[in-house]
Amino acid sequence: MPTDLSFFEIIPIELPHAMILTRLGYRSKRTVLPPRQREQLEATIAQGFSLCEPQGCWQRLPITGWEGDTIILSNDLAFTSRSLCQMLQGSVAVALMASTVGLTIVNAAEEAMAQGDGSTAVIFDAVGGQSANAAMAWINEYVRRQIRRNGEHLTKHRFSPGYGDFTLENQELFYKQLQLEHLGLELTSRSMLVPEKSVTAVAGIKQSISSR
Amino acid sequence: MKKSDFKTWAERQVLILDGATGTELARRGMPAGVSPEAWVLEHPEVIREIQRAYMEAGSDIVYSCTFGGNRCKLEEFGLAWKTTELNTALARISRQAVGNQAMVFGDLAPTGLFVEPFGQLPFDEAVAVYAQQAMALVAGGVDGFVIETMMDLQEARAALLAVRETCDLPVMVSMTFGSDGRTLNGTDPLSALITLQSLGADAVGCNCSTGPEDMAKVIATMKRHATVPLLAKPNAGMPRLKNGITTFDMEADEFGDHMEPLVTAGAAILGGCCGTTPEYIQTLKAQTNSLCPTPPTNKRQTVVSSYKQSLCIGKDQPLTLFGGRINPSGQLALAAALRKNDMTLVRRLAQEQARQGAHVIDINVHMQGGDEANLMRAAALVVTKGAGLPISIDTVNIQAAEQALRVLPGRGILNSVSAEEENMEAMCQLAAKYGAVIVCMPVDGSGSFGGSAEVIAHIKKILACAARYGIPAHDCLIDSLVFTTAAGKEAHRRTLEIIDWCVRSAKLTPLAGVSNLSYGLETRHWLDVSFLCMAAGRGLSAAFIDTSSEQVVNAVFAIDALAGHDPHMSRYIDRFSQQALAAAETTMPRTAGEKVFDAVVNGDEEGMERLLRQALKQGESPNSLVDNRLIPAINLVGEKFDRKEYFLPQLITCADTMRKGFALLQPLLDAANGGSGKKEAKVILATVQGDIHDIGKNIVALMLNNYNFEVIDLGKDVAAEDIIRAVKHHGADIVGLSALMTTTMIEMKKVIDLAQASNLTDVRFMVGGAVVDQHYAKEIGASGYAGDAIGAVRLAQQFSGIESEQLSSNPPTKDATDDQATQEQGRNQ
Amino acid sequence: MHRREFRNLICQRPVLLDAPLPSSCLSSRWSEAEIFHNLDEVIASLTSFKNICCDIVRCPSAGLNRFAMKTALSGEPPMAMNCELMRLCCAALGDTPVFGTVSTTGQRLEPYGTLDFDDAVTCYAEQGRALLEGGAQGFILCGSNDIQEARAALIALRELQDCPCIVELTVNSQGQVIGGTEPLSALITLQALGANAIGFVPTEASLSLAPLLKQLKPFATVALYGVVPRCTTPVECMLAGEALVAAGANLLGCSHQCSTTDQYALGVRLHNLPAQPVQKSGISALSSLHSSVLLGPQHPFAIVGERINPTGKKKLQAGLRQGDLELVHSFALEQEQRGAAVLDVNMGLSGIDEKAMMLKATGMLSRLTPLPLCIDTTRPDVMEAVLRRYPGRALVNSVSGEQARIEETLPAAAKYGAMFILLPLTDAGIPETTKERIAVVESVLETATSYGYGVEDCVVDGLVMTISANPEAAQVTLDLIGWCAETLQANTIVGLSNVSFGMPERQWINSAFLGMAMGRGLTMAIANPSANSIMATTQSYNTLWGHDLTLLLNGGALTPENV
Repeated sequence: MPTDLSFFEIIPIELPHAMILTRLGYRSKRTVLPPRQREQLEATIAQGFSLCEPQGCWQRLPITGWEGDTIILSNDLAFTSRSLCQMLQGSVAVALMASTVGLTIVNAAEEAMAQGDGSTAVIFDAVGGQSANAAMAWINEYVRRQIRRNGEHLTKHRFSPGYGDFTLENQELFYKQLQLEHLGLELTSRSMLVPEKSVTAVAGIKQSISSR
Repeated sequence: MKKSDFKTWAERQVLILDGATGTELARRGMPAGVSPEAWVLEHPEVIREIQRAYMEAGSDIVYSCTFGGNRCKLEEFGLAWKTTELNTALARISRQAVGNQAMVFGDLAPTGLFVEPFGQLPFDEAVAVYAQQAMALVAGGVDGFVIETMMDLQEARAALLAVRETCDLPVMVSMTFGSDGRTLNGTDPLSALITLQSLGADAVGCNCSTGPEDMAKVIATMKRHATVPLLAKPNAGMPRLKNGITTFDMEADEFGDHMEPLVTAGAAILGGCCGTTPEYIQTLKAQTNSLCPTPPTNKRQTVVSSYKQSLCIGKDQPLTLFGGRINPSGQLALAAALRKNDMTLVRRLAQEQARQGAHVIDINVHMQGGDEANLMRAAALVVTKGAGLPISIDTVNIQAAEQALRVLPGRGILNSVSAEEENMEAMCQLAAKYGAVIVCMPVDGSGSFGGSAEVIAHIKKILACAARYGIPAHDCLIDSLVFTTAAGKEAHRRTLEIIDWCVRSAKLTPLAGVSNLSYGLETRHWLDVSFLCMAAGRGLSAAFIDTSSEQVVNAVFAIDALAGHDPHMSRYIDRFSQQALAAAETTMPRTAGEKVFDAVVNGDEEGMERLLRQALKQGESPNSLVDNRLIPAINLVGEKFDRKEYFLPQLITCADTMRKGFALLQPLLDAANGGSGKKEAKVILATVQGDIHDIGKNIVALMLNNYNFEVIDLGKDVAAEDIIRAVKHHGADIVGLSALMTTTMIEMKKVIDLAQASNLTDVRFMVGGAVVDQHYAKEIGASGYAGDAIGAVRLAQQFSGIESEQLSSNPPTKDATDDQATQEQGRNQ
Repeated sequence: MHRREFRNLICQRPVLLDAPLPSSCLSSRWSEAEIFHNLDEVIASLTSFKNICCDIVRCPSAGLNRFAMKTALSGEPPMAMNCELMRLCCAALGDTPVFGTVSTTGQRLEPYGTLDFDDAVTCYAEQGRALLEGGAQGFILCGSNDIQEARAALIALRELQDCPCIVELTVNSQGQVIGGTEPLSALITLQALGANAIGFVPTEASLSLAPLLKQLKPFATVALYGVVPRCTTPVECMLAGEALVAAGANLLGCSHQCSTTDQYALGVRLHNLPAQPVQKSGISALSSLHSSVLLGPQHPFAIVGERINPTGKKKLQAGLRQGDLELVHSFALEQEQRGAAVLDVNMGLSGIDEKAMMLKATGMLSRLTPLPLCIDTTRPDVMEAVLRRYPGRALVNSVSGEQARIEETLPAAAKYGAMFILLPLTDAGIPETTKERIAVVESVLETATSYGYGVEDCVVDGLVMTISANPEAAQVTLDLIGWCAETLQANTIVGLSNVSFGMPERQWINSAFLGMAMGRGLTMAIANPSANSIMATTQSYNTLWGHDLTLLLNGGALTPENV
């Protein structure tokens, strides 16, 4: 099976409007937003979204073995995590995925904060974070559709480093394997991605055996 | 097979396609993980058997086994070099299998790569990939083509253009829609139909996607505007995962029962996709044998599209607004950006206009010394990505027009075709090839425009030329020649007369460049609006107008309501209901002091200074303003935030407003209190070493500042030693630490331990961050935990001995900053 | 002489009239008493006019009305004097027609003075009757400086018999009618009221009236008449006469300051000049005492200010109940300031005497504002009373296809020559389709024609209904307006507030509808001129169609040179 690394230069996400509002603490039917403030909010969200440059990549890696709580992939890649292993049970391969919205939005948020405009800063922050998530969801959906013709499907959930016992240090493995420097990403000594509005995740690929 | 024969055939009877091939191959022993194309070539008898079985079951058309036969897919198996040979051979095998009893259509399918603007594969390279395959298939004797299971409209366009540039055989295009009714890139069925049928597809439809029930909805949506037969090739119901095994939930009989509704919905070409077998095709045949497909629409409707929306233009439709701001003439900044090939401004202008209500984005990049063709192509792609609206290519340059129309993932508008002989022929030819709608510009280049009669003669000439290239009159928009106001009443009258003629005599669709009217005038919008209304009164269908003015857009909503294009006035009422609400709010007379309170609660930063001065003038003391207005107001804001009536941006804005007020009063307080306007306490804030997330900490800093604490923000990724040094240096009373990650929260303990080791026992520590909680705070010896910025303020007040009224009554709840952090942890890193 | 004969006469060639004596001479030479003492001289002087080829000669009866004579003469009953004088003149002049002259009463009419309008009418009527008895072939109203007095005389004389009436107005060197009325405004008012010729006498004998006549000619549907300026040679006199004819005069008055030889030369010359045409179709125009408004696509858009209407206005209602017109006064000034062209006046309020209040209000408004009025009442008696006294050409709001309106309001409007708003509804209600509405318009117009009205005298109301109740409502109105503008070539008007009833932010609907209707040829609207969006739309219309260039000049799109 091919193991090519695919990059998406521009991911056509829609503005994740509802998610952004939720993230900012907006509760429909509860939060009261006067028209003037709503207008300003919408303009800031739109401005922030125009600063997002959603990009990403994914790669398929066959699973070559299991050793306790460690899963071994081709290319001598191995992840150790009990919960990850549980999720990947029955998978023949994994999809490694990464998305980012780039540095522009992060810088704009910082700039706004430095100018004392906290309101714009948090809105930009939310727009960036949710757009990165939306880009990840898009990649996930893309992979799901790609592998369907092969009679395969994706696990319902995906897992990100830093979650449960899947430690943040695994970020390094993603970074190297997915060549994230091509997306302009950097990794800090504490395994954090820069720019921070970036997401990595792994999902399992299972074979669907048709009954007919 | 001739295109015309295919058309007649599909109009006369329901055409039957084949069923699934991949699963049939697997059942006959094809192992997983191989290239089906290569495997079939080694086992030709297997595919022969399958296709004969389909033919005997009733298939009129079988697909060649070349789904993965493009060179990009084959390359995954290292077989790209064999592309031509494989395709020709596979076409021959299918031909042998069905002889002359069924048609063989060459199967083209996704490359797996993404075509620009959504991926890196240049459009013309994609065309070349498919052209190679198509040519090989023609050599193998196929009767036509099917481009199937397409997820990306742009890739489908590339394949369609490749086939059309290769041969004259009929070509069907079939897209795959998700359960949300859209393709992965967000293309809806109608936009796909409009784009593909205008680009010359002989049939359009969908396959795979879903089961037959949902597909009927897709087909029905397309049918309203379909000028070509529609194709449906559904799966055998929905996939169900049972014990790790995927099955499709529909038996052959049930599948067959769904075929009549599909034909009723408008499908003329039917087959089966995943999970179907010859048995399914047999029932399909039996169920549709006596049915006759509904003929294609004969509605004369102008429809354009982008990759994700379509737009009807015409007399029964709301007024179509063209946003014409992407035009470097008179816009120095845009011209400068274009010269540097910088498309940021183009993208922003497109987005702005889309947000303001434009329906079509017009792109004009003509300027002295610019490479118009390349700029136009780049701009068209940027606007596509940025705004997702249908696009009007505004140029007289043939190369620029072709470059843009070729890569535009949608049905574009070519603006414009003049009556000048040379331009007219070339532009019509181009529009016909790419299926674009044209804007007829009834001028002949002589520089004089004449009266209505001359203009109408020009229009007729252009229409005749368009007709020669197969462009029907309803795909032509008529520019009614609007000039500046100073051009005088004869010019304006001519415009109205042309519109009148279009609407009442010629049944054409008039367009007006209303923004030309006030070009260069300062008080422009009323002129534009008024003339727009006058033209709309005559039946104008589309207008170039500056959407940045609310007046203009309001008027357009009113026009649609008046013209009967907003039947229940719902769009108009929606637009203004918010404003009506605001107006309905009772405005009790308030004193200036009360207004200061209101300003904080409403976050009215701009009004604060004026209101404070008013209040002071009315005799309210600075102390009273702080104690009775600002503080109670910000406390109310905190309460509202706790109750979720306010969300984070509001909290911050209100706090900023209060801070501004406080800063204005500070000098007066100092004077009144003998210069003792002191800060509450010193707080040092830091995101701990290794952690780079600081938005939460920044918000806490901001809020503490607003509550008059002296905040020393050390920033992010700060070492424990540096924090302790700063505490000593500043003599801080409180330290706030933030960490977002499990990997970095341990640093907090380090800081607290170091403080104890350094004998800093009076310093109170508060901690916060996504993964931190009360329990952890206790464990590491911190004095308190804050769940959000308001919580942090309350803690700090408590530590410095200020008892806030809210503190006891409203314990901090889990809030926005908290949620945000949790997500961050889950997905972000 | 019938009016038709008079019309025929002026269609053959320019007609020479004996000119009025300057007002100063009138009293000094022949005071009322002196006329009868010097009858022979008077008759001889009239005969001399015949000899210098005058086509019409005037009987010097001008001062012989009840009010003017009260102070001057006693004893002899004035009416018998009129009759006798006329008889003598006719006998002396043979087949040359003699016109009776009537002139000022010497008293000011209400609302400027104390003389009741109807008393003035009665006074002129009795003099006219007496002159007719003596054989008058027609009338000349002369020496009047007051448009209202001229109106009273004209109304009186027109009610007597079918004979021609010529109105003479004195103009000063600034081209103003003495009394402050613009000549155009006077022309519009008097020709609508039924004058057969309107003429001007300059206060300065040397002033040529040619420029004034030329300016008025396009708006005149009656014969124009001008007095030749003082000349010193026969050739000069001929040339001056020719110039007046070329400017559009149908009648010339010979000047008493010219010698008989000179006048004779002119009289002979006129026999060889072609007649000037008199425009048959009328013009759409309204006038007030001082000023006038021209209507139609060639002229600025006319906003009829709607605010003087007590419906829904508590304060105004309270004021009117106490007979207080203060608010009416301020509404009028404010609307004038904001650019209204016409003011609608409606006094429909229960519990007040509508007729009295309407007369009071219109009387006050005609002094206060130069804007013509739109008389908005459903009561024909109120309508008639106001029109009788209104010193201008008013707009009647409205005549519909309802039987009662056709039978009562239309004749009243016609009698005073007012323009009227045609409401396309019938006793059965408001027709839904454009076609049905057109049928109503055509039927009302047919009746109006029998009263001497032309299409230009009516303004068709587009009658717009609420779009929130019927989304097609606006379209029906627009189509009706389009038909009126293109096929009927009539003026159209809409009331703007109806269309947006029940909708939020109504100004957008109102102004958009106004614009759309303008696009179909709308020429007027009833609206509140305080609404910025309405006036901005109106200003845009006037800018686009070249009626107002200030915007372009200010914006630098035009320079004064290339205007």
